[in-house]
Amino acid sequence: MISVYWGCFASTKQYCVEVSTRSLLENLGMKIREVEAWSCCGHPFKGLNPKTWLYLASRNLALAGEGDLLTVCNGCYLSLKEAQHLIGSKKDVAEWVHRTLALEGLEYSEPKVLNPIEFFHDIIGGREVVNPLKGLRLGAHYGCHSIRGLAVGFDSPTNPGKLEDILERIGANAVRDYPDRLDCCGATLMAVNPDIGFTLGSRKLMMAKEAELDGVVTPCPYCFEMLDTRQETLIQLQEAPDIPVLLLQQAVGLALGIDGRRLGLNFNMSPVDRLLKNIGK
Amino acid sequence: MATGFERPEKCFQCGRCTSSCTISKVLKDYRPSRIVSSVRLGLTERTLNDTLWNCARCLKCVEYCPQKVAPADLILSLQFLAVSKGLTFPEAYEEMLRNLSETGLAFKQLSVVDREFETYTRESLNLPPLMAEARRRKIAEVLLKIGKGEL
Amino acid sequence: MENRGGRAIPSIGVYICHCGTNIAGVLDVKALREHASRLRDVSVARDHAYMCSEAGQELIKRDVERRGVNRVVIAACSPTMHEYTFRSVLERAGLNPYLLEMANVREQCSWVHSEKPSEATEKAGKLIAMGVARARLLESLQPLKTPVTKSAMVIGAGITGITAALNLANMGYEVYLVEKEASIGGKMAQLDKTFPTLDCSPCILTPLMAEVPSNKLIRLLTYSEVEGVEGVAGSFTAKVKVKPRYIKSEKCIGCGVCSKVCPVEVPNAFDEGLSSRKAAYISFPQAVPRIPVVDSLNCLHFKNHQCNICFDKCPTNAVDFDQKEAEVEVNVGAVIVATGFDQYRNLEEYGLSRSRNVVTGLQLERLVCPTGPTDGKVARLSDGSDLKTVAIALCAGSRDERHLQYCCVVGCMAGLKHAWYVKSHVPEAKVYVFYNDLRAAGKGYEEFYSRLREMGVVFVRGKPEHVDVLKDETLLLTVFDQSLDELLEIKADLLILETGLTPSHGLEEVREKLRIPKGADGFLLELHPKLHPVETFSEGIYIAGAAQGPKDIPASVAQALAASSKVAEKILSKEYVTVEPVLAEVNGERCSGCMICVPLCPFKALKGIEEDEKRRVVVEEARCKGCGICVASCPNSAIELKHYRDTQILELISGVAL
Repeated sequence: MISVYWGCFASTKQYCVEVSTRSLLENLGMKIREVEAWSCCGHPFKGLNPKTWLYLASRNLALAGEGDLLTVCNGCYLSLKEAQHLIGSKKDVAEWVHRTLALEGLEYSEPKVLNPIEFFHDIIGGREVVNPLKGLRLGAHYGCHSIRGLAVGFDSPTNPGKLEDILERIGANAVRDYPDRLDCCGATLMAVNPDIGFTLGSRKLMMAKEAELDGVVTPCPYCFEMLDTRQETLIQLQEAPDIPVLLLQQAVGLALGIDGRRLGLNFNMSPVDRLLKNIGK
Repeated sequence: MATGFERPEKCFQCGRCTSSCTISKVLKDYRPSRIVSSVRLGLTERTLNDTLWNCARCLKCVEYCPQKVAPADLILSLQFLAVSKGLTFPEAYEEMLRNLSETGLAFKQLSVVDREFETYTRESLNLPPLMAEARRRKIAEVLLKIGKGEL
Repeated sequence: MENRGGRAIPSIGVYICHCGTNIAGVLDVKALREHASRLRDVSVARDHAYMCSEAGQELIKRDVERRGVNRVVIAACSPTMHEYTFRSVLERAGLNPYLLEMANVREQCSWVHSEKPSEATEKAGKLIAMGVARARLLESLQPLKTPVTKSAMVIGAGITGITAALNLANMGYEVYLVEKEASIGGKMAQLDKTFPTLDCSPCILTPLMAEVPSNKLIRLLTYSEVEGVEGVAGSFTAKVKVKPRYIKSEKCIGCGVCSKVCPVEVPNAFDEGLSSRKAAYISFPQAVPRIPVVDSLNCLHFKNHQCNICFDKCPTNAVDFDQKEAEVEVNVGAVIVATGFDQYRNLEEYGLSRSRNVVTGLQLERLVCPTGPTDGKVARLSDGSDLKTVAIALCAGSRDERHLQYCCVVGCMAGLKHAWYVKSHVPEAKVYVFYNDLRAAGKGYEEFYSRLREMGVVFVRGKPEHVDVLKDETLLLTVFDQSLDELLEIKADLLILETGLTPSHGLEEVREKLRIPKGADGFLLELHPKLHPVETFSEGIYIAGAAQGPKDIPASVAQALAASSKVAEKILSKEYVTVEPVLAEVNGERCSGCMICVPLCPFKALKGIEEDEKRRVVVEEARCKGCGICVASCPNSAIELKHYRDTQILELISGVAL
């Protein structure tokens, strides 16, 4: 039994995240603990009002209880980890959280917050890869919040390798280092300053093309929105190249033999058919 | 109640935050090192404007700073300060805040068109429903209290 | 040492120091003097501006000589400051120096209670009364005299160790010079030139290296490690493990044939991994001793017992695969630890280990060296092509809370030297130095920096972000230049990192065996950062060079000379060393022979003996360091520390109530 925290974006727009994660967990024989009361993790509001953020983040931690909590969005992952770190290190903050959660009848708890990369990296060990992604030169786009920040820590922030480890495990030819691999895709800027956001997103696709990648794999729905959903915009406005982009769950799911439809591959806007052809699916 | 881990006093002006800053590469006027120095020199006021919202919160400055100054955390604190003083407020967030009170989520549920031009909703994908009304109201109450400064 | 005063009825002199305003600015010293004079057994009480001054010391001396004072209580600073000073005063006045008690009314009173003067004065009064109470029970003690073995051991044979050893030998003392590697010379042997004069490093080092084996007083033990050191200053016993080279040194003529014919190739550590060496090898051409080593971890013979090529080809039959490790026991009077430093390499964010074109400073030294892996040609390591742009990044891993907090001291100067190397080897190349601060504090250093700017090296004040490695292994550095207020993107063919420095990887073991504490930065801790830079908290054990903290060659040499001078002054020039008599003492009647204390002693100073069919413990005073662990462990309170006996401490405590 594992709790999965979906976050706003996956719940209201990037449905392929939920669809692929559910199919993948089912294939791995895991049951999901459904929590209907999940709210936004508060990440976008941290600057506007830190207390708004803190309340939202801690209430989700409270709802998660103890045990493992899989997040499927980098932003949510960072938000929850930062909240845990802050509450654990500042007494006045912890007191405020307890008081505020009490208003909703909730009690703070400390689940083990997991990033999809760390989760699948550890889980995939013994599984049978029925459909290895042979011959595919895939690169990782970690996204900022799975590798950086004072509260994060399952991989090296300056030279991470766990996502590439997964790609290798599922049979792909993982490109472990390429320029700007760890750079930001600009997704957060879409709200405030879309031009900048798109410039940054295009840059990522250009670097991927220069590295001669067949595809990019990312764990974050926000990054996915920028690099995949908006790829056409990037191509039109910024002359970005067209590159297939997959969600981590989709790449893993394909390798484990799950049908593309059940991984929400119909929602990808980038030319994923190119990849699927290569692996004979 | 301090929620960030910024330490502007530790800065020794190596400039690495700006060297690594995602936004500094595309916006000539955006320099996290300048923001930190302004605060360090007691010139905080000059940082309180719209440009603060350009921060992508990519955390490169936080990761690469050799003195753990955490400029991005400082920027969040300055954003809050600016908002509290009524100096700036990014429009995009108004809608997100409204959604938050109405649904508990920052965005409204959308129907999405896939690559084959089929339209889908949560329901049509057999995904479980989202938060119940009673819970939403409770959250909105607390959020309102926080917004008013009562908590 | 005078015995006088030890058993006489106490006649206590109390001296209250003003310490300028440090004490008198807070405490009412006149009132304290009054208070002290009224305490039982106090025959005289005085106060003075500076008790440690000559005038202050005279006061005590005169009272002892003329007024029969036979116990002295000084209310002043901490004993760590002046206990030694005042003990000497007592000695000069003819009193046993252990009849001194210091009441700390400064660090533990006036300095910490400065906003509560009247309460502080009251507390000081109690501290003085406590001191007087203990003083009544003090005894005369005779320090121990241990005979001095007129030889020393130096651990580590880089420039520091070699200098110290030669210095001691030239003074006429025997020296055991122990070196972990197969050859002496250390890091300096790997350098091409030294800053700021650009002296050829091996040219100034090798003559010193050559002196070592020809000096009759130096016994050189290379490829050796110290296994343990026991004893006390003046008479240490050290066990040294001499690792087998599998070559009989008396037969070897240094021809190098074994190396030539050996089929195994492994990375060469002397060239910092940029070239390979054989399993049978001599570390570098000027190695001392010039005897090869067979690296048993990689040698085929040790893996398959079949390869005998070097054995067959050696003209003098010097190869001996059956050679065993030897253990040598040496007796010395003092030890100098000079184990040097290593480079910090956890630098992937700068491209290290992600591209061949990113090298450390030491690697560059090997590249420019004419006897190095590329015969002195400096080019792109990925494809051998010419250098057009070279970048040097200072502070890679130093002054960085994510890596090493401290400054590496030599990186800036090394960076300048490296820029000079590149400019002189490849004059058309564009050379950039990226720095945060540039520290050129030393004789001729600032002038060197000036010269480099005149040579056209471009200095950019800015720290580059995560280094990108392009497809052809060209490096892309993005740096914010503060003067231009612009982000520069610079493509470099070669990136040289001035890395942080850490204590040598062998240090931890040596340190534990010698029980030398380390500072927060991991380097050996000196007795006093200003006044005793080469001494440690253990008498007879000295430290020098980079093992004590990163430093350049002149500073290392200066410390080597200082440490050897200290060894001669404090130990080797004397016939015996005095050991403080604050030692454990076993009350034979109370000791039940349970032996709980024996294994607890870190210095193995306790021994169980059989006497009259009863077992009891005795203290080997030469080994005891007065730590008190055994005292605390005894269930029968049968062990006491002289000068800190239970009665003395209890009286001290009872003094509070007076």
